[in-house]
Amino acid sequence: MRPNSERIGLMAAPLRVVAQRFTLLLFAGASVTLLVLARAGYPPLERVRTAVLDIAAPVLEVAAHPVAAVTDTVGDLAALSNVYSENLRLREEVERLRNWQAQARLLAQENAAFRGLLRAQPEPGMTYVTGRVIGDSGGPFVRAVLLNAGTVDGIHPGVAAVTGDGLVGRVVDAGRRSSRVLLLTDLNSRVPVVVESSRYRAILSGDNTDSLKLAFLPAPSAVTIGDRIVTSGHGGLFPAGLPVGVVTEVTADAAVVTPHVEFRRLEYVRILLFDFPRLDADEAEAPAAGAGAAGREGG
Amino acid sequence: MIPEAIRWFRLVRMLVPGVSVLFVVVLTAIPVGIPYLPTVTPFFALIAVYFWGIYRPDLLPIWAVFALGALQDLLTGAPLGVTSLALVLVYALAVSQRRIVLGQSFGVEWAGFMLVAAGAGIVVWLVGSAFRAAFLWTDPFAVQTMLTAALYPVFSWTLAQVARLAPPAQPG
Repeated sequence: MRPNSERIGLMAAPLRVVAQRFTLLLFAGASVTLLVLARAGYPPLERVRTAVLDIAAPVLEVAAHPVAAVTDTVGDLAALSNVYSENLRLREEVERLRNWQAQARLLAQENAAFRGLLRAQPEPGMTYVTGRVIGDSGGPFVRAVLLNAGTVDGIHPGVAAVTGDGLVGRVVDAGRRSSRVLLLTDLNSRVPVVVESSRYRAILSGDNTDSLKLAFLPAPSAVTIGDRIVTSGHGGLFPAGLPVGVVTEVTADAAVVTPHVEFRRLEYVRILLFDFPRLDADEAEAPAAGAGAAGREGG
Repeated sequence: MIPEAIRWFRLVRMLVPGVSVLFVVVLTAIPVGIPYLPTVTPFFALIAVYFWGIYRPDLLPIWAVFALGALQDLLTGAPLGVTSLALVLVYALAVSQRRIVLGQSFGVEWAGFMLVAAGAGIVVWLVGSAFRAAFLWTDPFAVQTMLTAALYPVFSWTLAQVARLAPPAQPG
């Protein structure tokens, strides 16, 4: 190490500048290459990504504990000051929800009876695993969180993530014991939804801000402020009827939806493992692989 | 036996800058549960890389800067390579300008960092937007840059304490 640095020290100054410029170009170029490969979804890079997540997950989990302890304490102290009003509010809510529970039981029975009469196909079974949020997206690029559950728990890319409040997003990367959930608010998030009351279909998209936009509505007038938005189940990724948000603004060309989930306070997230009925597993994969590949496999 | 131990100890001390950057990279990825913070987490690694680029570039080689940037991208889910690019550029700038900054007051060092942070913010926004083929919402980038610049005095003071753990610089 030492002889080497001495040699560099003896190097003529201009030569040293040239060497510095060269290494800068080399590593700036390497960064750009990474960006291009990542953009193209180069498979080995994706494997590296999930491998790094798996290695980092335990570290993040351990590191998150003291931080969580501090923020929890601060949160508890803040909550202490409004325990009384909170208690009153919760009592009211419990009463209201009891009414709803009674109604829901009644409707569930009625629904089961009607299903029996109609011989409707039973909904596919659904199980879930719960993961703790161990990592935030630490930057302004993506809206995503890291969970401490992965493929060993049955999670695979594409499945839905929810909390008690509603839909959170979908899994985009799954490592063995960790996975990344893309939030609804992310620029790349697109979810097929329906307006609960009118049953109009639309696509709910994020744009990295805190509100969501409804696209592909038959007309902006198809929704009004206060309409509830739920998943439609089209596309086969999410089960139908998951609550997503409420329409809070309608303009001439767009409707704005405020999500039920408070993304900034996510702690535990449930991943729904949903067996969507498929005609055939191979057939479902064929469009993604391209018509040519499907043809070759068939022949 | 003892010279061997000293040699190892010296090796460990040489890793201090790299480990300090690794520490802030992991810190960046930890959820803190404070509203608004995840989207505007200060760019801690930028502070650390600028600091070591000026004071001890001999202990933080450019390839380590590149690797730590890539690690931050992998952990946070940012476009892979964008943080490496920003950190490598800032590091090279700090190393090339260190002779100018070293003799000056802290104010000059801080002002230099503000310029560097603003430049890095713009680069990161441009590259991020190009990567996602859309103009990203600029507010988080602006807030992140300002937060990072505002935190520089505290962080560089802490890093200066940490720097004492590293082996003393060789003259030249």
